[in-house]
Order: sequence, then C-alpha cells, then structure tokens
Amino acid sequence: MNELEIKNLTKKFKLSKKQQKTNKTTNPYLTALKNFSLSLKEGEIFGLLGPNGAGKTTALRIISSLIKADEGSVLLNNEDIYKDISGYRKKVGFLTSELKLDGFFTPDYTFTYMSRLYGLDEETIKKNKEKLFERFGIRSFKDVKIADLSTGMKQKVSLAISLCNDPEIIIFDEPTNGLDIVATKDVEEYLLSLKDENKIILISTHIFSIIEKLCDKVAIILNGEKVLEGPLKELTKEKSLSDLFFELYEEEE
Amino acid sequence: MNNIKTIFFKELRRFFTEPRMLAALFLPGIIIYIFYSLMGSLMEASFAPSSGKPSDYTYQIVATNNYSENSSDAAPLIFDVFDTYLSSSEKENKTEYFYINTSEVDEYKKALANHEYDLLIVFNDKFEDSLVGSISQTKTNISVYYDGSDSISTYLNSIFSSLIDSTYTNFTVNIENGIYIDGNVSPENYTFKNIMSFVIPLVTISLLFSTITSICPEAIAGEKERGTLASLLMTPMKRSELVVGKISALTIVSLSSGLVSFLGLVISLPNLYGGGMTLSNLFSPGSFIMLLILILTTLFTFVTIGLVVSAFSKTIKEAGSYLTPVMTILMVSAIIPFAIDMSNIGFAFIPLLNIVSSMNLIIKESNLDLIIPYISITAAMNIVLSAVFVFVTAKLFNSEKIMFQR
Repeated sequence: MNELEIKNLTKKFKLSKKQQKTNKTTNPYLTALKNFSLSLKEGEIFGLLGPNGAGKTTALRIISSLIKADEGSVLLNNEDIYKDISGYRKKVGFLTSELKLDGFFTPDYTFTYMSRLYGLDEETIKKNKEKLFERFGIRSFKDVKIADLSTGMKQKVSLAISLCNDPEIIIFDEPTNGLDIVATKDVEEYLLSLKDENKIILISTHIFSIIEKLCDKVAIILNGEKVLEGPLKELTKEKSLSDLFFELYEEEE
Repeated sequence: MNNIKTIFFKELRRFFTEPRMLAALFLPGIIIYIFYSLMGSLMEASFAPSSGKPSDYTYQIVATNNYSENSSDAAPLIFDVFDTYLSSSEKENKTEYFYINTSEVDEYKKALANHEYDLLIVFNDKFEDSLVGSISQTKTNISVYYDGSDSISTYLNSIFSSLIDSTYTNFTVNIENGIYIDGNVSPENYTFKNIMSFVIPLVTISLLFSTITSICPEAIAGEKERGTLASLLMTPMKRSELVVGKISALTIVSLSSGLVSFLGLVISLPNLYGGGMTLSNLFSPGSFIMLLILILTTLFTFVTIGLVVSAFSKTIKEAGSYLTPVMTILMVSAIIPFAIDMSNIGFAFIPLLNIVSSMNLIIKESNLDLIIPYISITAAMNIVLSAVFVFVTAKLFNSEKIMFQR
C-alpha cells in the first residue's frame, strides 16, 4: 500500500528590495511554509484548504519535487523521494488547470512528446492517449493546433497531458480554477474515479464545496502553517467547514 | 539519451515548421545577398566612367619601367591580367600603357591631375623579379595614383587594386594608393578592399546575431512565459538532458541559418566587388574554409550566449532586451578595426573582438600562412567561450530562483 509522508517542510524565499517594499516588510526572507506535515494514503482524496498566498502551491510544488524544501522531507513508502527522484517523478502527476501548453503544437503531438519524456514506450503512449482523449472528449480536435482551440478545449488537453504517465500520485493545484461548469463536473467525476483506482490524491483549493464534495481528509493552511487536519466527516460533525475555517482565520489574523 | 533526442526533435520541429521562425532563420542570408549585390551595383555605378567619355575610350595608364631588370622584354603580369579583365567586361574600351623613368614620377603626377592620363603606377625597383624569382614570401610595394575627382581614374583604381590582390596571391604586396586632386598628392591606404574589410564584418555579424535574437529567447524564456518549462522539469528527465537537447537543436538550427548566410555572403561577393570579378579572383579556397570555420564557431558562441540570456530571463521580451546590449558590444567591436590595426595575433585571444578582427583579416589578407594561425586561435577561443556558457546555462537550470521565482 502506497503512503506519502510529508515531514516538517519549511521553505523560505528571498525577497528583493522591491518585493520587501510591496510586502511592507524589512525582513529579506518570506517564510512560505513552516513545519508543514501531512500523511497521504492511497484510495483517499486529501484536500488542502487555504486562502490565496497561504502556501498551498509551495507545498504542492515541494511534494511534486518541482522545488526543494529548505528543511524537512517527503517520503514515499518511508523512503526519501530524492533517493530515486527519477523513479518518483515517473509516479507523480502534477495537475493544474492553468494553461501551460505550447500553442504551436497539436494535442496529439504534445501528448506523445510529454509521454516520451516520462520514458513510456510507444504502445503504452498510444493506449494512454486513446483512454484519456476519449475520457475528456479530445479526439475530435487532437490534430488541431492548440493555439486554435477554445479555452475549454485547451483545459481538457492540459488535464489529459498532465495525466499522460498514468500517475500513482496525483497532485492537483486548484483543480477547477477557470474551468466551465461542464469541465468542472468532468474533473470532479474523474478525480472520484481515480480514487477508486487506489491513487494517492492531493488537491489544493480555496473553494469549500470542492472539499466537501470530493475529499476524505482535509487540512487547513494559513500563513504557511497547518492549523487543522483530520477526516472531513469528523471535523464537520458540529460545524460546517466554512465556519471552522473562518474561526481559525480570524484567530490567526 | 532518448530524452535528449525527444527535446532535440521537438525543437527542430518548432523551428523548421513555423513560418515566422523559418523567416528569422533564412532571411539574414538572403538579405546579405541582396544587400551586398545592391551595394556592389551602386558602387560600380558611382565608379563607372562618366557618360561624357566616348564608348570606345582608350584608358591611358602610366607605369614606371623599373618593374623588372629586363623591363623591355614583357609588360608586368598585372597589366596582362588587367587587359584580360577589361576585354571581358568592357569590349569597346582599350588600354594604352606608357612607361616612364622613376625620376619622371612627379612630372606625371601633375599630368594626371590635368586629366592627361587616367592612372599612374609606381613599382618598387625590380618588383616583378622579386615576386617571380623568390620562393619565400616577399614583401614589395606598388603605389597607385589616381585622380579622385575623375570617375574614370577612380574606377580604374578600384579594379586595379582588387586585381593586384588576386594576381600576386602568394606574396605580400603593399598597395599604396594616392589620391591626386588639384595638384596635392595625399597618399592613403584607401582601397576598395580595405573598406569592405570593415563593412563586411559589421553587416555579417549583425545579421548573424539577429538570428540568435530570434531563436534563443523562444527556447527557454518562451517556455517559462508559457508555463511549459515547469511541466518539463516535472518529468523524470535530468535537467542536463534538457539543456543538451536544447543546445544541440539550437546549434543545428543556427548552423543551417549560418550556412545560408555564408552562401549569401560568398555568392554576393563577386557582385559586391564589381561585375567581372569571380570568387577565385577574390579569395583562395583556403580563405573560404577559414571564413566558414569562423562563421560556424561564431554562431555556436552566439547560441550559447543567447541561451544564458534566455535561461536568465522571465519572458521572451526580457531576453530580447538583455540581448540588445550584447549586440551593441559586438557592433562597437566591429568598429574598432577602423582605428586600430588588429592583425597582431595577440588580438585573436580577445573574445568577441577576435571574431571581427578575424573576418577583417580574411578579407584583407590573401596570405594563408598569416590567416590560419589567427583564425585557429579565434575558433578555439569561440569553442572555449561556448563551453563556459553551456556550463553557466546548466547551472541556471538548477537554480529555483532563476527557473521559478523571479
């Protein structure tokens, strides 16, 4: 059984003079994450809830190995991910609804190109492509240049390509940001189907309804620190998630 | 290795199938050809005999008779070459040569100023004997006097000076031109070839660098701007593989562009130097090989400079604005040879400046023994510099601050 352990992550960013002025601080460092820990298990969707600038994206970027923490570690099945970072990255899918595609190429070419970088063989690429293009309704426009697609189409392509390596660990930053209602429903349904496939799923959001609809566990993050963690059902026995969040938020302020 | 291949082919696909990129890659070569051909036509037109002269005009050329110990036996080789050239390009015109003693030179300078003659050529004593009789490199001198206020005289001088360079290729011949106007002789090293040795590097380098400013910002800063770089860095591929893949593709892309620019340059040179000139008149095959080596290694250096700037920048626009000062430095270095004689081999060790001085040398100098060491050092310096920039690019890829946070 796969288990992802996030232990005491701390991350500081150096601020330029201009950034210090904007943030109205004389401290040359911004602590984006402080002693942040989580435990993720397969077959569960874990929601990370927090306002903008709370440190959610930084946490997700460290967990996905895009950047390194100053302190702390990420362990997959009790082994530091940097012992075999290439092997870890093959298992991770970092999804974001933000567009990040080269408009010059077609969805078909981009999917193949990214899959090759994950070291997949041509047969697996073909199989994954058929499955995901079918799932997100991309087939009809797979040979059209991405630049010529509508925003909704681009979002679907972006999601499909993020999942090209059929990842065991899915990290999804703001899953429905900017998506239309049809695409949002598609993504929600797809995440639930991935849960049934026993994937480890971590999503970050500032939208309560997404957590309530999808997640088994939730953690609230404020100013880079985790202030609450637990199973959603237990936490929301007496108070709604939004009431809980705003209580903590006001305390912190 | 597979990842390098994947990145390499993706980059090639982008550059060789996008019309905007294709134009950026191959237009410089075409512009070089058109620009130099046009320039040659304009210069030829301005040097050509004025319309007031009859079409069957006989050129009056005065030369000192000290060019050989037995100067009565045969005319100097250069005059045969000159006649052959004129008979092929201007069928109606003829030449008439007058041989004088060296003591009469001053008198004929005045006659030249009075438009009685079109050109006065003063040879060093036993000029031809020293060239023909010696196996080793010989240094000798010809002074060519012409009337700068007369279009025929100026026209003849430009042809004559170019032909001297191509006729006596195995020897060092110093050409000293004198402009004789209104009775005042002012000797200057003012040959067509000298002007070209400054103009060609300036235009060629600026066009080569313009290719770099088109392709390099796109390669890394473009990925950052689109947000696609993060997706690449999330894959199991090593960052060094990404750097090598991109550099290899950009090198191939810029080399293709460089070859087109080189061809544009080579094909346009005869047009630039005047209608009847051929490539073999102008440069030896060795000089062309040196020019090719220089252009290719220079492009590799430019690519790596462009990649460092691209990796450092957040956006394509920012990369473009960082590359502008680099372009300015190159332009300034292209002007320096106007003021300083850079043929000393020590200058070949100065990065970037050596590119200009090498190109300058190839155009001015026909002696390969002088060119080869200079160009070899410049090419080696280009490769060393490129290696340093590749190392810096790889380092920048490992910096979170540069890749994500700026």
